[in-house]
Amino acid sequence: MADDELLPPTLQNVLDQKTLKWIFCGGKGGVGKTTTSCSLAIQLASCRESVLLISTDPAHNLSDAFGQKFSKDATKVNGFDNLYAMEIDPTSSMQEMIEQSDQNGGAMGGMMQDLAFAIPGVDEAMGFAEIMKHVKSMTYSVIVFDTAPTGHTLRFLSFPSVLEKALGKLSSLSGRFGPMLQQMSGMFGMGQQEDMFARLEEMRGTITEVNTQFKDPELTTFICVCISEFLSLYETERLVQELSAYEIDTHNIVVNQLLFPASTSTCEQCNVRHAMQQKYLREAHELYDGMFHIVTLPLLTEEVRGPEKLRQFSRMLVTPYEPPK
Amino acid sequence: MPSLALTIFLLVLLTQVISWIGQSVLEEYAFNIYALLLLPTLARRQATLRKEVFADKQDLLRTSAQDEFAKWAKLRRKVDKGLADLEKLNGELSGAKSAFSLRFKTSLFILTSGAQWLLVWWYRKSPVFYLPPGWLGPLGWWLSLPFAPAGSVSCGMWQFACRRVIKLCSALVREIFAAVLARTAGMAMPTPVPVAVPEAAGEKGKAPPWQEKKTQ
Repeated sequence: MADDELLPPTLQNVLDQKTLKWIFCGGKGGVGKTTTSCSLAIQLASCRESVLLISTDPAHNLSDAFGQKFSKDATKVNGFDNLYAMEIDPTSSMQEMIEQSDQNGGAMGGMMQDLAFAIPGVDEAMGFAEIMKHVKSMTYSVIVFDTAPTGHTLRFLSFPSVLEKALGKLSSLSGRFGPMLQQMSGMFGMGQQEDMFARLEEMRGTITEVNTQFKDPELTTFICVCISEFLSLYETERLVQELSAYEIDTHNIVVNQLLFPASTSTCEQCNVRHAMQQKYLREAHELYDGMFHIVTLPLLTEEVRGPEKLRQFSRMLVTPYEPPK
Repeated sequence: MPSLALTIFLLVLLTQVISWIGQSVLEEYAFNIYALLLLPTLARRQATLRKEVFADKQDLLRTSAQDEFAKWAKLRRKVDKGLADLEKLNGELSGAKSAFSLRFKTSLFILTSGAQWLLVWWYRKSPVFYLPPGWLGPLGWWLSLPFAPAGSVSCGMWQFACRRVIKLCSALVREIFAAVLARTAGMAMPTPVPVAVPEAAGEKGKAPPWQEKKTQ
C-alpha cells in the first residue's frame, strides 16, 4: 500500500468530527480501554463544550484512573472544567427499575413484567435504554463510553435491534389482548397494565431512537483498543466484523502497550517482545491500513493514574509517539 | 367408442406409473431440468460459489493465524462473506424450488386424477362399449352405473376395471420377479438342508442345541 494512502496515526479525526455524539471504546480486558477513553475524554474536553465519560464496565476503573470516587450520577472530574464522569452498572439499574415499578404496579403489572422480561437479554437492554433516557435528558456535547470487555460490548450494542423486534411483537400483542386484560382487571379491581404497556411503548421509542443514532456514522463511532498480540488482534478483527454487521461505524484502532527498548538494551525479554509486537503491528497495518487510523501508544514505565499523568498521556493520541533513539 | 376406452386406460396407466416412480422422485428430476433450463445463472453461481468457498476454506486451514495474521484475517473475511452469500443463494434456490414444487404437483394432479374425473364426469352418459346381451345374465345392469345406457359399460366402471387390472398385473409381475430372484439367489447359495435331530435330544427338558446358549 502506498504511503500517501495511509491515514494519519492519530485520533485527531475524532476530535475534528464535531458532529460525533457517542464514542465507544472497546476491546479485550486489560488492553487499556480505560486509559484510552480517559485520555480521549481529556482531549475532547479541550475542544468541546462539555464531555461526559461513562463506564459501563461492571469492574469500574474510572475511579482508579482519576483517583476520585464516581457514582452513577455525573460528577465533575477534579482538575477539569467541562469533563464529567459516571459509573453505571446496567443490570443494577434494571433491578432498580423493576423494584420501582413493582411498588406502583401491583400484581398485574408484575405479571406483565414477567412476560416482558422473558425475552432474552431484555433486562440489560432495558437497563441500557434507561441509561440512554437518563443521558439524553442531560446536555453534553459528546459522550464517551468506556465499555466492558469485547463480548459484553457487542451484546450491549446489539440489544437495540433485538429488543426493538421483541418489543414490537409485544406491543402488537398488547393491542390484541389489551382490551381483554382491561376487562378482566376491571372485574378484579386492578387497572395497571395499561400503564405497563405505555411504559413498554415509551421504552421502544427510546430504543429505536438510540438504534438509529448508533447506526449513524456522523453521530457514533467505535474505537477499538488492542495490544499487539495475537489474541488481541484476533478479538479486534472479530469486533470489527461484528460492528460492521451491526452497521456501527469504526475507523480507529489504538494499539496500546508497545515496547520500545533502546537499541543498546540487553534485556532479552524486552527485545523478544518488541520483535513480536512489531510483527503483529505489521500485520495489523497490512490488514487495516486504508480504512483505519492506527494509533500506536507506548508502554510506560509508570502507571497512568491521576489527572496529570492522564493529561500527559492523552497528548500522544494527537501527536504520534516517537520512540527514543 | 374405442378411443374413449383407450384414453381412460392410458390415463389410469399414467397415474399408476407416476405412483410407481414416486412423485417426489419425479419432482426432483423435473426440478433439475427446470433449473438447468430456466435458472442457469442461479444454479451456476451456486456451484461456482460453493467451489470458491471450499477452496478459500482449504486455504484458510493451511494459513497459520499466528504467522500471517493479515492474510489469515483477509481469507476469513472472504470465507465468511462467501458463506453468507451462499446461504442467501440457497435460500433463493429453495424458494424457487418450493414454488416449482407447488406448480408441479398441481399440474401433475390436473393431468392425472383431475383429467380422469373430468373425463368420467363428461362422458357419464355415453357408453364406452356395449356388452353382448346376456353375457353376464341378470348381473350386467350395474356395469352401466351411474348414468350410461342400459346394457353398456359406463366410464366410471371402465376406469375402475382398468385400475384393477393394472394393479393386478403389476402385483403379478412383482411376484414373478420376486420368485425368479429367490430362485437365482437360491441357486447361488443353496438353502441349508435341515439336519435331522435325534428325537431324544429334544426330550427330558434338555434344550435343543440352538437354545442352549440362551438358557445359560
